[in-house]
Amino acid sequence: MRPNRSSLRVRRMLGRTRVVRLSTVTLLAPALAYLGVFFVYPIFVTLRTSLERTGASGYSFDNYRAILGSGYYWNVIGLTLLLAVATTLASIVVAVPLALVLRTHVRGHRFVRVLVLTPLLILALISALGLLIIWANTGWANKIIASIIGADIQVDYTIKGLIVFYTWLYAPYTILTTLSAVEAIDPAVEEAARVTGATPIQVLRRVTLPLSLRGVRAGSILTFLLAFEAFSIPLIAGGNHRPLAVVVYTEATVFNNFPKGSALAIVMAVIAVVVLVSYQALSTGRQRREGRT
Amino acid sequence: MLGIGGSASAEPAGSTHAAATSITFVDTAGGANFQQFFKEIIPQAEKDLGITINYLPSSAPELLQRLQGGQANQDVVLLKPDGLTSLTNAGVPLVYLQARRPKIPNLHLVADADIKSVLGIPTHGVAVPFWRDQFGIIYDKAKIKNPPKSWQDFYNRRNEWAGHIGIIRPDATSGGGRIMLRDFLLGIGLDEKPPFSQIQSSSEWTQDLQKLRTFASAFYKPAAGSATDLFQQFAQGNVWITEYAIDFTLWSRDQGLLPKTVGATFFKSATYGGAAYLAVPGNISVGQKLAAFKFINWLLSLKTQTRMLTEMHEYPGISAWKKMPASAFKDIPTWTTVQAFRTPLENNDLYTWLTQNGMQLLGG
Repeated sequence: MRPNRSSLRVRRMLGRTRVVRLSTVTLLAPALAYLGVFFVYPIFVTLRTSLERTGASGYSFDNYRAILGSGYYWNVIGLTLLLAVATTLASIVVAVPLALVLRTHVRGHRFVRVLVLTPLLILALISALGLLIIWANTGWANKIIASIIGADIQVDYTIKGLIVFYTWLYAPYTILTTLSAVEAIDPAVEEAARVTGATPIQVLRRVTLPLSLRGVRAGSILTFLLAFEAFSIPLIAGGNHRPLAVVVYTEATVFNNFPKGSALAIVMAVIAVVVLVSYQALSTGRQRREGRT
Repeated sequence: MLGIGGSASAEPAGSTHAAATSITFVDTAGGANFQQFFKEIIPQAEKDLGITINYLPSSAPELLQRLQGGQANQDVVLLKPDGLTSLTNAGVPLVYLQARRPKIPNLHLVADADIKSVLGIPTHGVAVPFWRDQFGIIYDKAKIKNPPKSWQDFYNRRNEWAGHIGIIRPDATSGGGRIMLRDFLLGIGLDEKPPFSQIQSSSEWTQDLQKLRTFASAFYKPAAGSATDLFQQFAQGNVWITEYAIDFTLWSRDQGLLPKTVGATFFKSATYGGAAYLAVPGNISVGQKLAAFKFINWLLSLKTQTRMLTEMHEYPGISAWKKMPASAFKDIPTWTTVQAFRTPLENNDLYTWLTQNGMQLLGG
């Protein structure tokens, strides 16, 4: 019996769907394999290790209980968040005005663009040492500021010093994405606002800044994550201020306590995810609200 | 192969197996100076031995994790005493090197006493010393004209240098800080030979800790996070005196990382003397073991060991002192002098306790 036309069409459609499915799976396969090998499996191993009992067999939540029940670790978590949030805010404060100036192509803008990239070209460990030297009480940066304000300042081994060092190292991520967003704004949109009577401040507040928000958000997420996981700078220049990454390292490589180090690493990952998701939700919600108005 | 105290098994006697053409050398003991040194000497070893040597700086806890996880690609490992004992305490099988004298002829240059025990624990010859490091009192001669003569003298005169006595955090990767605390305790009279539980329950222990806290109140704060950080504190003029490894200090001075005015002096007692040991994990193939023995033999050769002494200011693991150039002892005391006062670690539990609690003693 010959198939009728409609059944042929159905078969052809099913065939096409299968091809689409197959090509989707084929295209996704490398990414899934990559995620599986380099992300899911290591996370699984870390999670399993974090549940191991230190110096005994079997699994338990002892390490998590010890961490979450200790004031010391809460202080470490607080310090890590403080450093990451302060660095992110400082980076935004630096990035937005700088991007607005650079997009006007003022004289020397190319040089400044290259200068912004400098921290990314130097190993963080070397940067940390260099910053420690120039901000030491005998360092030139410290001396210049001390001569301006007329008093000695202590930067090395302090929280404010860490924020300065982190900002120097991680702000370029926010600066670059903000600059790219600002430069993508169509000048005609701002011109239209001006023509309709908006003052320069209103143009900035109502047009330029909202349109560059996407770039600020993307860059600040990167900056936050890098500052949250910073290791070399606090290890060298943190003194007694030791954020999570340094404490994880100390637990694992000095105290030889891999289970506790792993539990701390999981806690660190969970906090980073929670902060990121909240930040995304907040900024997306804000953007939607602004879109409606 | 065996863990310490275990039984030996070996590659088949009269083995006709060919040595592997590639091995991995895991270094858990070298600081920046030795990582640089190995990068310089390994190409020569590869040329001399005809094997590829992958050099991997690591840490003892990381190595232990890998070995316990069953990874069989660590062929020669370099460990500090506590790293070696952590491996053997965990039951990691190590090759009984003393039975491989025919394969490692240069073992005859190593004194028997240096392969019998580590940290007071019998090693039964599973490890051989590659180097023997020595701590000393490092001070800036431009700032201190009359350095202390003993730990007690250092303690009594602490106010002369208040705020300028440096230390590395006892919980840092570098063991310098915890060793300084341990040496101080020994220097003021602590006997580290009894079990740590016995030490802790004595009234002297409480008094010694109180004295340590008083001494620490004269330290520069914050404690350095690493040796590099400590040297930076020296270079900035904030730290004038400390106890640290002579080899790394002199090497750093040669590299311009420390002021030229930095010199060393030695107390006649309670001055740490350590070592870095070469060992071969038992879980590798016969071919890998044969290549590992060739490399160990090369590392223990007079040529390599002399180079280490002259270039790195590090005492060699072998005891062929008469064959070493006298000029090497221009910057460091002779071995005979050092041997009289060097105090190897004997109580691992005390050392671990200081690692975990040292920062509290420093008030940090």
